[in-house]
Amino acid sequence: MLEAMIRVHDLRKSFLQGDRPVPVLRGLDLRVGRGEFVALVGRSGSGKSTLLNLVAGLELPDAGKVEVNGVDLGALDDRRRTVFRRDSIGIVFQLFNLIPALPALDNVALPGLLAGRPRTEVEARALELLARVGLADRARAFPDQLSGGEQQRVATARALINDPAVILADEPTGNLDSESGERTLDLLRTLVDQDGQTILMATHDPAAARRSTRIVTLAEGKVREELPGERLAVPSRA
Amino acid sequence: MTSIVRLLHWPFWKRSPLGVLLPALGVALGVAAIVAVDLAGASAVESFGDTLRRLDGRTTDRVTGTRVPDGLARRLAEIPGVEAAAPVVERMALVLPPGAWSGPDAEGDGVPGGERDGDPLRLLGIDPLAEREVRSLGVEPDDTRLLRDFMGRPGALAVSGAFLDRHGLEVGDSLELVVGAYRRSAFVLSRLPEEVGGARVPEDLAVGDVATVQELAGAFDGVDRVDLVLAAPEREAALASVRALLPTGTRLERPGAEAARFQRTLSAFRANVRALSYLALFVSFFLIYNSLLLSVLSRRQLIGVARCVGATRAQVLRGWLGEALVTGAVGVALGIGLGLLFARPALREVSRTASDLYGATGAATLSIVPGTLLKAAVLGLSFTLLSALLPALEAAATPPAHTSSRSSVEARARARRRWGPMLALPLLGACGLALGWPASGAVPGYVAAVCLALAAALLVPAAVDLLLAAFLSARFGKGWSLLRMAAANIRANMSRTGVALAALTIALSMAVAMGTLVGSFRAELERWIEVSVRGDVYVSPLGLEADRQGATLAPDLPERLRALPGVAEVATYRERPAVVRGRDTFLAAIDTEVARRRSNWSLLSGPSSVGSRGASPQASPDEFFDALERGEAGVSEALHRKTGVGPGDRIEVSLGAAALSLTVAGVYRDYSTESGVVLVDRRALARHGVDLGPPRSVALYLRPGVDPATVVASVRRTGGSELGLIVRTNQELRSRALAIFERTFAITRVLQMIGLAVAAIGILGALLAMLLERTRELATLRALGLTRRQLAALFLGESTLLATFAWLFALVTGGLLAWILLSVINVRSFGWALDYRIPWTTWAGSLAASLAAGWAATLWPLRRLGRMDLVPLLRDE
Repeated sequence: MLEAMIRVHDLRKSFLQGDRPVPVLRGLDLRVGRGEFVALVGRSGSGKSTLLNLVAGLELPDAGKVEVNGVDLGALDDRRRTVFRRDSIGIVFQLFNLIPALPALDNVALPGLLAGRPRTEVEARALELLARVGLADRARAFPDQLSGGEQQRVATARALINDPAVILADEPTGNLDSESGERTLDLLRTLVDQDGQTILMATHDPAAARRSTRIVTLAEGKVREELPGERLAVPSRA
Repeated sequence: MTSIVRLLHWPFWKRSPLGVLLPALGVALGVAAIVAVDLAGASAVESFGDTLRRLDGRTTDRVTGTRVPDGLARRLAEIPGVEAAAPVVERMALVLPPGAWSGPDAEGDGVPGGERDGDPLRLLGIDPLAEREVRSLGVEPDDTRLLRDFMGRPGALAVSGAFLDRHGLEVGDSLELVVGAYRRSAFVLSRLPEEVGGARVPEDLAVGDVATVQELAGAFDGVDRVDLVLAAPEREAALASVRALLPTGTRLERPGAEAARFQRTLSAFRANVRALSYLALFVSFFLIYNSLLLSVLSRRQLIGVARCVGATRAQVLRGWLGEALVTGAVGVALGIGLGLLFARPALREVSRTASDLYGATGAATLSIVPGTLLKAAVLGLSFTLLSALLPALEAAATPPAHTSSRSSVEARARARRRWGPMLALPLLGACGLALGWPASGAVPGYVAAVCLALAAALLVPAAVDLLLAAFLSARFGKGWSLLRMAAANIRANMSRTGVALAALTIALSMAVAMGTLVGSFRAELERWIEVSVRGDVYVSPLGLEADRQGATLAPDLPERLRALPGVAEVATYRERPAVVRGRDTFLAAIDTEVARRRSNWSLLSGPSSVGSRGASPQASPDEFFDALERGEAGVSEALHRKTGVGPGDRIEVSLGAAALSLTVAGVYRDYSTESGVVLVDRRALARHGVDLGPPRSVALYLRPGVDPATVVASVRRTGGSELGLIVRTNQELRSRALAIFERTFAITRVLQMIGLAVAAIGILGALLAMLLERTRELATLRALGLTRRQLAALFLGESTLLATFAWLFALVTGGLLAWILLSVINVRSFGWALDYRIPWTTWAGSLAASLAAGWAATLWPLRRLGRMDLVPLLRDE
């Protein structure tokens, strides 16, 4: 069995709707092994994004436990959780969420610079990543000068800058046309196949889900079923 | 219109009332400053004038002079056409608290706490029988018993009720007075009514019989003036007869001259403070512009929708101007309320300055002038509408269904910024033109200052853009990421930050300029005090605190002081109001012989050099003093600059009845009065047949090794229980001069702070707008691993950069404004050309003020950010 990079146990989370608590996750269990590309699917409100936020440490569960790379996120205070997220988790958003004031290169370099790594080293790595996503010549372009697909590729490069243990992708193709969406999925798949990267992706798109190695369907705050996706192109490093 | 307001304005006011309140607060502070300063200035002048008018009564003409004989009034009253001729003796006295006088051994200035605790009281000596037709102050000659006491009992005074109430005094109580240099006792004979015939009786008035006040003043030879009521039909003939009866040393003048003189004297000070009071409103102009522009930008899509569904450009324009009008109206209402609240402390400051510098005394009461309130309201609303015009036009220009991106908005803002330098150039040209304008008043100086400030405001955003670009292209090592990001954010949001930055720059520029003016002035003053205040001990009458014009020392005091052990020599200073070339000034007489030996006079031009600025090598003090001893005169710098009188000129010095013709020997530096001084030698003046009376002050020069404190005590003993003297050591006199100087600028400092507060509100508005527009970006940063502390650092970095840039530009603009203030406005207003000195601590302090304003403006957005749930914002469009 692959080493667990994400371990979720009996996870519960409710949100208030007016004064009434509405449970979103109701005792969810999930394990994602190193080098796996897991797609979370399910209807709106099934808890996909909530699960990603909890795994990212952006929110805290009402009950249950989240471990990423062996670290119990619930045991960390806000600052340590933030630092852990910065160093160990890469996030790709549906709306790309690039910083409009910064050019592509600085957007990619940002998490590395926030971690206090030397600028020259971080910028060299950011250029390398931009080249890898096919945007070496767009390094100086600002977000509003890039297409949606290009923005998402910059966001993916940004997610990789600190060599994270896992990448969390929330509807990464949700705002892209089919061609750009396909290209983004190719990129994610390459990361898994070539680098053994661990990815947990939430998606509505069945075609996107099929590019994963495992498809996990959520319903009513729990895992309803798990299906195999594409096979790995190369055996995992583990 | 209603639907536009419902769609584009009302929901936003309801959701974010701060959007309206912050700019309204800016307008309010601006209006408040104007109302407070205007009311205070007008009230000070009005109270003084009102008192004088009240005391003038029906007086149509007045005989005044150095010595008006006692019996003159009776003779004038017999002239046909003269309805009344009433003799008057008028003095300002200082009323001391009971028991304050503890004799010659008392500590301090002769009377413990005398300077602090004394309250001025106007003594009016009248002949109650001759008064009936002139004025009515509630001393009715029909009450025989009262009249008998009024005229017969020594020290009997009828005192205004307000004064008695303020001091807890009642009829029959005794009054401890200092009149000039003399301590006197009087008592309250009766209480003056608060109103007579519908007119208010001045609050600081005590009326006594002529003989009573003469006795209190120690002036038995004649009265100060005779107030005449001339019947209109026979006026000219009566005047001719009056003139024929006037003895030497007397002259005729119209009532109201003194009030007009006071108004003229205070006008330059008032004009300067008033100009500064417009600063806050000027800064709030930027605040409203920015705030409305931000509203337009944030609602651009809604405007597009409104245009799409049929709103015309005119409707959109009116909607936005309407929003501005609401902001302005709220601001004006709040500002007038605040202004009325601030007016009282402002009046206190103005009155104190009027008393410190111009010798005006008496309680000034705040009068609410509707015209002032109306003017402030009109100004506030006009400024608001004017500043709203461009944003409103921008809103009206939005095409239907327009959904411009932030970047296209910024692109338009960048295009607007390019216009800034182009518009700034003609303004700088206008500034140069105003500086070269040959008018004599200070108005061109103010015009130049406003043009310069506006040009700076237009240049700042473009200049900051360039600097930020340079900063961002520079390569910094580890640890600079947040600052770089802050810089990038500011640059990317210049449509929001540019105008706020300009506003802060303007407010800071004024602080830098005023700081430089005050610093330069203070340094010059200290230098002047250093060379001119050389005596070891100074003696002046205690009553000087109440009566700067009239209080003098006992004539024999200099001789008595000269005889004191330890005193090497004494120098006297005599002074009297005079008129030179139509200007009110002073004629002062000194003991040249002592001054030559003891002082180190600072001459600007001397007997053999004319008109040059700065001490000329030819301007020798010795030659100057020789000239004074020959009977020539020196003129102070202020008089020289205001009248153009310089070395070699002949001047006529009018002392009321007497006149002197003098040759000017040189121009000397003097900061004691902006009215200027004509300086003569006392002995030479006597040769001209003019006596300025007893000295105003005496400087004692001690023998080597003598402790000034010992002599101070001896002087107090010399004064005994009769004389009320202020005795100060050299150091005490210097400290007091500097304290008065600092007090004079207290009100300007408050106005600067108000301007800065308005600018801080502008920065707050800009940062809040940036926060609201960047919530998703900030949520992303948190998700990417930016800690709360780093987020706070990012915000603080942005405000720090804004504050630092504003400060840098303020140093340049403020430095230039200071030059205009020092070299143009100050010279034309006060007649003093001061050397430009950079007060480094003030300049550094303005950085602290800028940072404080910037950081204070960050606190609220940070607090708001801390309360935000950022996770949902990650997915927001």
